[in-house]
Amino acid sequence: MSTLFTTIQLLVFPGLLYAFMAGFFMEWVQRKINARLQGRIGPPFYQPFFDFVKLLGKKPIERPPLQGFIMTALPAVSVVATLGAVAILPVLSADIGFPGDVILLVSLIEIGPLLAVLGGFASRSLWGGLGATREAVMTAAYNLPFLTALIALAWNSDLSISLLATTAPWHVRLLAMAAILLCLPAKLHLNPFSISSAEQEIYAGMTTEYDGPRLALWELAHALEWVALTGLFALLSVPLVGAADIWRVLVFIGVSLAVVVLLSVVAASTARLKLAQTARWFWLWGLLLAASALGLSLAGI
Amino acid sequence: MSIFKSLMNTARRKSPWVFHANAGSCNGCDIEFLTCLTPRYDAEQLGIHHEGSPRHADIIVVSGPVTRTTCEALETVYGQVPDPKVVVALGSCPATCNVFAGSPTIVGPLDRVLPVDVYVPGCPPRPDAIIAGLAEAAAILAGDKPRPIHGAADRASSASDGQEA
Amino acid sequence: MNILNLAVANLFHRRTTQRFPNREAPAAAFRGQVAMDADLCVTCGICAQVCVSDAIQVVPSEGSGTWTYDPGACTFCGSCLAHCPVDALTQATDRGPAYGLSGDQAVTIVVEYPACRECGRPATPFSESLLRQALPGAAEELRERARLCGDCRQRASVRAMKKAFGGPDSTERQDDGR
Repeated sequence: MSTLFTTIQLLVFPGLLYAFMAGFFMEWVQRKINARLQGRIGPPFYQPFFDFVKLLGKKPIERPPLQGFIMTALPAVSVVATLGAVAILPVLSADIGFPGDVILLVSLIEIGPLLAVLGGFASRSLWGGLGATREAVMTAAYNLPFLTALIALAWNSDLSISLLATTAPWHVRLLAMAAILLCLPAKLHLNPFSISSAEQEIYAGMTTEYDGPRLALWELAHALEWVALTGLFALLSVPLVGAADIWRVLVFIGVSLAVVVLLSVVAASTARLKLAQTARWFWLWGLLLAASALGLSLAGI
Repeated sequence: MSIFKSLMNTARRKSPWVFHANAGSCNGCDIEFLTCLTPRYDAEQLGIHHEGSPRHADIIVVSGPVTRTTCEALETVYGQVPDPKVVVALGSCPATCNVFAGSPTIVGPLDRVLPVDVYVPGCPPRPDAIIAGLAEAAAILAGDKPRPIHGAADRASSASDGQEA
Repeated sequence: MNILNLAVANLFHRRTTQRFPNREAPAAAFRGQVAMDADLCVTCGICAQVCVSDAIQVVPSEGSGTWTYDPGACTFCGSCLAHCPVDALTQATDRGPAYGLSGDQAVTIVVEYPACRECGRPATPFSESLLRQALPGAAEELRERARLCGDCRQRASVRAMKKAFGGPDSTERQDDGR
């Protein structure tokens, strides 16, 4: 029974099926809100799905064997890693969590940007290298407050996600969640921290040389990142101890969507910050929030 | 596997990604193309996405009579767009060179360099005419409309369109 | 926070986006595709001469004149309209649809030359407006003369001159077979 339940969680919710559907849906919500706030209509709801299918149907450009293999493997591994991150989110019950799973989750989430940087360089394109460099600097910038906030939350627990939300006191959680929320636009390449995927400025950044199915995998990885990150935020911010499964699911989905809407509104209303400004923003304000959370947590207040 | 083929055709019709190349245009057509992305005309309602990289695009929109200096770059960019692809000639310059016909620095109308599938008339065309032309290009990609016969520049890719699943 | 005001206003205002394929009609003064009225044209060729992009060609031949226009080459400047002496050209309020083959939308109009009243050969088409512009107080006789072919008109003018100067037997025609 437990194995069947776990399998259903891995395949349906919050695993494979939910991840794909929610990923496309969240991407559509972001594009639609962006359009509506700009006074436009925006794409219809099936747009990200058809984008993905169309990309799969393009004839791939011939590449030298090793480069072609790397250029296909990098986005594929990124998709698998982010899918794994979504699948191990403990939404339904505590069965699927285990002590230390926050480390696994964070490492799976971090694989995405790392592989994107490698992918930019592997494509041997000037624009890919530019985008990859910017993404690398941004990763160094936002990971500092992100990981510090997670450490602050995890200090008094045994590194299990389901316990993270409940054991930390509310003021630590508030500060840490604020720091994590600050890092989300950078992880998702949204304004004001979208410097690494600056459209037209560096052509298409890291994915400039990718086409067809390879690009489809990158887009899918990006959509899955939406699900994983907003889902993590939802789990850590709302503690649901002993609540019925249906409430856990509804709150999880609801808070995820609320975060998507908030991030989209911020993205539509802000301009892009430069790389130095981005780094300064995270190492000053992000670190301030996360460090105060960590300080409070260490002091045991 | 006809359900996959019709799914792929629908996807191609609903998601035309565009790359814009300027082959010596006076920028009038380029400005009108950019206007397609503004709230009044909103090309995104058809799924049209202006891409930064030719490798991401399905439709390559060319404006301007092809000048000698841009000819080679245009051919390179055309080669970078993956199949299936459609070429749209924007305005009257790529169609007939307009006022520049006979100039020694002009290679010629676009169909001397690339196989053109859709001509959007105008000098410059109105943005809603450009969007209608892009919708026509998306229909060609989806197989709703046949590609016009190009003669010597007919590409093998037009034969392989129907077999992509 | 001006941008937030703008964004919220966009959210609640009626959208002005044109939903494809509906489009607002262009303004009445919009310069679109050129159309020619075959009843007015006199195949003078001035439009072809002033056309900046050689979109109009006028080729006169034995019994007719051919007017061709390729909207794919047109720059919609309106020069041809402005210079046409008989106002045979108008511009539509639209520019034509997207097409697939170059030259597909070219328009060819053949203006038939009417027969001369005297000799029956083809004569340049008569234009009432041209006559009024050139000779505002034209007598009935001039209007008749304008409907003749070039040679017959020349002979009629010579006859009229002879009659005016009162020459001998000025109403006789030359019988040298012309």
